[in-house]
Amino acid sequence: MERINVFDARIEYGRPFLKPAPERTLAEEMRLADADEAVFVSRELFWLPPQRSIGIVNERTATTPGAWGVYLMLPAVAGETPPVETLAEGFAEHRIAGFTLGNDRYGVPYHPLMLKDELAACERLHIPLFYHRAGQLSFEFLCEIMEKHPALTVALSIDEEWPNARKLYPLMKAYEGIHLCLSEHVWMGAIEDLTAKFGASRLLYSSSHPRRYAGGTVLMVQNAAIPQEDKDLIFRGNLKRLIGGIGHD
Amino acid sequence: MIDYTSPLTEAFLTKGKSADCPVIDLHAHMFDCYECNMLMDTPEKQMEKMDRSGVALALFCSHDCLYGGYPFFAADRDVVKRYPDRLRMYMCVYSPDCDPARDIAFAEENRAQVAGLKFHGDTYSIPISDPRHDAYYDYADSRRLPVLFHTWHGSPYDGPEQARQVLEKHHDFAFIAGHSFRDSFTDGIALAKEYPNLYLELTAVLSQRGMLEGFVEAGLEDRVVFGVDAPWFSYDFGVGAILSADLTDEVRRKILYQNALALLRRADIDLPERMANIR
Repeated sequence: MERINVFDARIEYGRPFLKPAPERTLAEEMRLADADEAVFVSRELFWLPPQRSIGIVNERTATTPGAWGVYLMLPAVAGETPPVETLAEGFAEHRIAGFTLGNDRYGVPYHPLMLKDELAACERLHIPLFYHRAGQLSFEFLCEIMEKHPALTVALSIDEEWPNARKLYPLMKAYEGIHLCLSEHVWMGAIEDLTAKFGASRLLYSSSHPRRYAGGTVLMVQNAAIPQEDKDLIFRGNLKRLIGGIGHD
Repeated sequence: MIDYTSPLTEAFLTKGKSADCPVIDLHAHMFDCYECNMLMDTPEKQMEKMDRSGVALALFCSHDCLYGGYPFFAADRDVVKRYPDRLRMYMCVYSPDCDPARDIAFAEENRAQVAGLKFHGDTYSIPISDPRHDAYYDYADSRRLPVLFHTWHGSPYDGPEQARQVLEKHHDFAFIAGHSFRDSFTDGIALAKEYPNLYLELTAVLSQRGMLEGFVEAGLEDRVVFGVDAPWFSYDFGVGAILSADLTDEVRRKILYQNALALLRRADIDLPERMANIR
């Protein structure tokens, strides 16, 4: 049968803190994840000084067809990273899909004020924030960010698979820019329910490779009781739209 | 990666199920639950998902029985009576209110519906190895029943040590380690090698890539059984994970139904008629 063509919204790659470098290339990992295209989160973002991790991300996208990187968001006023507007000028050339947060590793307090300029620029330029809810990168912090930046585009992944609609649905109802990565959303009936409540355009295929089996999310979407055009949006179309919508000043 | 050359993959990805690979779910629940907004909160909705994903048979213990015990047994039994071709119940051993005579009488009176027992030490903060459970284990041994345990690494109630204490004394019932001692799969593998009546169940295991291959590499392909905590988690996610694990279709079939079928037959469980000829 023909492979299902996916654009994966979240895989992880790179050298973890105090651990050896990966044995496989990013391209090999993408093959294992069955991803023709993928947004990868480089693990070096969370331990290597940001001015250097930007170079690593760019090098990986340059050598890996279909790979899209993300940069770490830090307050530019501290002088470690260029302003978002400057970085965004190179997004197309370097295949950058947006930003992610690492407040815990870099000692940035969990308050939207700390990243006010950066979040405002992302909001204005429609740059996606790849927000991974884990630890103090909480639902509460995301609520605070969205209250200040309600038009922000977010690709939200969550580090728990227990059914969590009580936490998630109010946020998705309040802010249309929030899009949900599906690899941890493995509750029975979730895709149909999310589609009915918020529309398929808010859902993103993701595998969380290499931690999780990609085939789980693939079959979950493929066998969902939703129209084929919605499945196509989830597998590829929505993420392409989000990245394609990034603008410039 | 997904094995696109596999006939099973083709069947599940194109039809959602496989006519010659009926899934048997040995770890299910039923109805709504205070812990979350259960989307598939009725037997009808759960059945719809079973149909869509090719799940031929599920053994369940409702949340009501788990949290309320004996007064809810009849409701579970009545669901099985409504769907005798698709469901069997685990009778919950509600540790805070053990009454073996009463409970075993219920199991005996409802043999067509009760296929096994369920223990959840963590819920009651009572070790599965507590002597109050002995009469239930003796009964399960006598009938070689499947007994589903919630098992979790580090738990003082249903961790590897408590399981070992039960397995040392009871060798005939099928000890199904729900979650396979999550977070310490090496303990699960070690126990399974030591005790031939221990089976490793996959709820919460399939969310960690590589674990399934680890069980099979340890030589336990005949001792792994399928479950997803339905209606908590998606059958499709579980089956899809198995399709992308580095396994052969022969092993996938064992995990998806053959191992379960063997232990149910060994216990002489009254299986749905249409399953009689499945191999």
